[in-house]
Amino acid sequence: MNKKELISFQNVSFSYETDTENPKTVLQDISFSVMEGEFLCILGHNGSGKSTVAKLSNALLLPDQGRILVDGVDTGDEEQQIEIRKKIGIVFQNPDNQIVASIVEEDVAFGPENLCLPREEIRSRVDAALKAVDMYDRRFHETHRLSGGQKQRVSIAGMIAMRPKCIFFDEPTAMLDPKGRRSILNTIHRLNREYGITVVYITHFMDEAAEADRVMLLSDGRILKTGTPSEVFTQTDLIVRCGLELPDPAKLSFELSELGIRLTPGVLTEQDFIDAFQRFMKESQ
Amino acid sequence: MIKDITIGQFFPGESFVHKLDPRAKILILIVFIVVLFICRNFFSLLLMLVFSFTAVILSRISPKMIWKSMKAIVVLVIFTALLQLIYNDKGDVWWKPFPNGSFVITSGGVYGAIFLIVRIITLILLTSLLTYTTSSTLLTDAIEKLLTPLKWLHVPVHSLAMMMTIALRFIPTLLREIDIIMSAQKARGAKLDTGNLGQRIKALVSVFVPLLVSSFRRAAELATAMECRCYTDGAHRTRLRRMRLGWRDWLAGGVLLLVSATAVFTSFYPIGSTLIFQAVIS
Amino acid sequence: MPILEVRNISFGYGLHTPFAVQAIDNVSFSIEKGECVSVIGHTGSGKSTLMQMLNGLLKPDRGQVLLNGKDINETKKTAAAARFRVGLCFQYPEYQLFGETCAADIGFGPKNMGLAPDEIRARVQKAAAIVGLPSEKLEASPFDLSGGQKRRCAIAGVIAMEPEILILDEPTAGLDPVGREEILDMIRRCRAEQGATIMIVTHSMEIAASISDRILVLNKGKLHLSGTPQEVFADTQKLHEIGLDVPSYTRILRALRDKGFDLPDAYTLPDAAKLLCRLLKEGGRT
Repeated sequence: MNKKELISFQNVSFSYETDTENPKTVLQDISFSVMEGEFLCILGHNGSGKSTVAKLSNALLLPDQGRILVDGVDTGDEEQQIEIRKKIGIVFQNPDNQIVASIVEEDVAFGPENLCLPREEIRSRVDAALKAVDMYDRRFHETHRLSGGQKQRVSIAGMIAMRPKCIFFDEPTAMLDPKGRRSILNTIHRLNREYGITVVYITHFMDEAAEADRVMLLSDGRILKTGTPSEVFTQTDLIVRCGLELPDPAKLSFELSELGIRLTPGVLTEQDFIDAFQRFMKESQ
Repeated sequence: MIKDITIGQFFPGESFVHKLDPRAKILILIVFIVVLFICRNFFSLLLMLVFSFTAVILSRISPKMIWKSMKAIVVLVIFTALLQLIYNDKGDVWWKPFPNGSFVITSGGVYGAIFLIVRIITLILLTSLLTYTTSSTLLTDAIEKLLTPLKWLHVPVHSLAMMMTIALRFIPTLLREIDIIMSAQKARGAKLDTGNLGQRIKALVSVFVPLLVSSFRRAAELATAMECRCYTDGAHRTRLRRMRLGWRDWLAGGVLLLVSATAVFTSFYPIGSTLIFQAVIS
Repeated sequence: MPILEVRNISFGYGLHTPFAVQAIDNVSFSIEKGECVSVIGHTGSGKSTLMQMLNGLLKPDRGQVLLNGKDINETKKTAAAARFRVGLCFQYPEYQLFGETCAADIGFGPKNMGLAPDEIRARVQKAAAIVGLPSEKLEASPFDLSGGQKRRCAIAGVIAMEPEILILDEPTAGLDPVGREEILDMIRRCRAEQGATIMIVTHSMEIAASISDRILVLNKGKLHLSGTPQEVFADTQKLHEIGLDVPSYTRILRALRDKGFDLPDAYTLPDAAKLLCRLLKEGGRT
């Protein structure tokens, strides 16, 4: 894997100014990096500060303390903000509230139009982006008639068309049904693998984190743990304390351990569980 | 029902009408409407009707959709036609329901009513065709271009056009949201459909407050999303779609001018058969 | 007699237009008092339309909805009354909050029923207690609550009408695990303490399995499958046909059974854990 650092948070703190004089602290002194080409998953419950991380990364918000470097450029540098936003895109939770135009391809073109690209370039980027998310056949459709999953694909295409190095996905599946969830997650993984786009995936669904390269556990504005999915998922008590939920097979393995049966740690998928259980049976006989 | 509204909808296609430059379409519509109100007799009106029918056929929009847009204004058409029927007392008296009253149905009233109906239908045909064949983005782009001269007067034409794009985009979303909120409040017994007028108006608070809250939330989220996509207010942007006047636009414009000239001319200098039409309505 | 009986109801939107959709097509089922029934189906399967017919918001094109044996659509009046008797809580109900205070919002339904102020106050208190909304929050604006609290406040607004049946349309959608557990606990409490009859629309097989006595599976407006969790999850083939699946615990147990372990089916986490535990102990003995 490419080891170049794309985004680096250095001792970043952030709090929202509420009307009173006690500002609500969202992030406390966090430091981490996003590597070029990786699939990083930020896990945290609602209010853990995970959405703020996304908005800090492309200079929508600026840190109170510490600094954030994108490709070596400080996000506080106002002259560079557009450049930073070209590199770091965000796809939000509610697809309805991020689609600007009434027609699919016109919405995808919105970003490139803002970048003042020549017409032919916009055309080719829009077509390529729509093909990448399997929406090319529906390029003339009205956006409000699409399903939730399709709308979210359009939002993703709108980001890809800007050719960013990295896209933050802020709970992109929270408002979708299971079918839509699966297809969006597959699309995002494909963008990472085939198009080399760095992905930072923000969620509270642990099963969505299982296939990430790295997982970062965030709770109440602090990073509790960073590592590979199996490294993080084995910290069951930590996860439960964060208000998160283990994937079902891991929950079953946890439940068994409460009943005094300890399978090999690190069970994430159904296959893991079946293998671990068979191994346990063999050993106990 | 709210879901049945079709006005402002767009049906993508590749027809002659779809391919017209949106600016040309807007200008054609404006000229057409003006001429339509100059028309004084059936002959000229018929010419205009033929023009809009041809446009509908060329657009390949299903007649069902056209009929749907008509249905929305049926009440209005019938109402104005009735007024015409009742208050127009020109021409021969055809029917006098009350022997002692002054109320009569006259030939002028009948022809006037028919004239009005045809005129409104002609108008709606072409107007709905504009939105059916032009996406809202293109429409606002065209309006922006047409209003460019106003930039010299420091009117923020670009921002206004962007506002219009977003407004058109959110109309269906908000209509659906109103539908859901109303149903949800009705489920809690809000007297939106059962109470008297006073109760209904009071119950509307339970719809407007959530709608307002959600609209502000949507606006804030949309603003953030637009910022992420490098939008800066008033800055220069390039466009995906090129607007260029082509042979189609000149052709359509030429035909319109020809039709209009004939219609206007025959309205004022009736010739031959048009004299008959002229005679019966005046 | 079942508390709610649905006989051959159908409903279509935009009939005689090119956008015509047969949202519900000849559906029949019944619900007994005190039961908890889950309705499962993809987006667009007609779930929401069905729910709105049960409380008289929509009138079926054909068929009847019987509440305690009487057709709710007999007159306009009975249809309007059905709204109070069958409490329907929509998806994302927090987006419909509007009261100046939580108490005012929760009391909206009872007020529309024409109850006396004392009675309304008592019901608001009771409903807030059921959903676990702290009483000091009652005088706060609903817009100052946290996400999970807003959801529970909105649900309290329906519970305060003290309906004979409570219908919740995806009550856990968009909540994090903690918020979801709070809602599920609330539903379990409602059943245990009030003996409430509840219908839940959900996408999650695990929730349906863990909370309901019976499951209805809708597909394209038709009743695709119905029965106890055991009956519904036995027909894997029919679930797969429409892109649904059994709960993950069931899948794991069946996979182990295919590997030669002697395991019956289970649908929930505690049941699956118990079965595996027993298997280990027996396996240890022999």
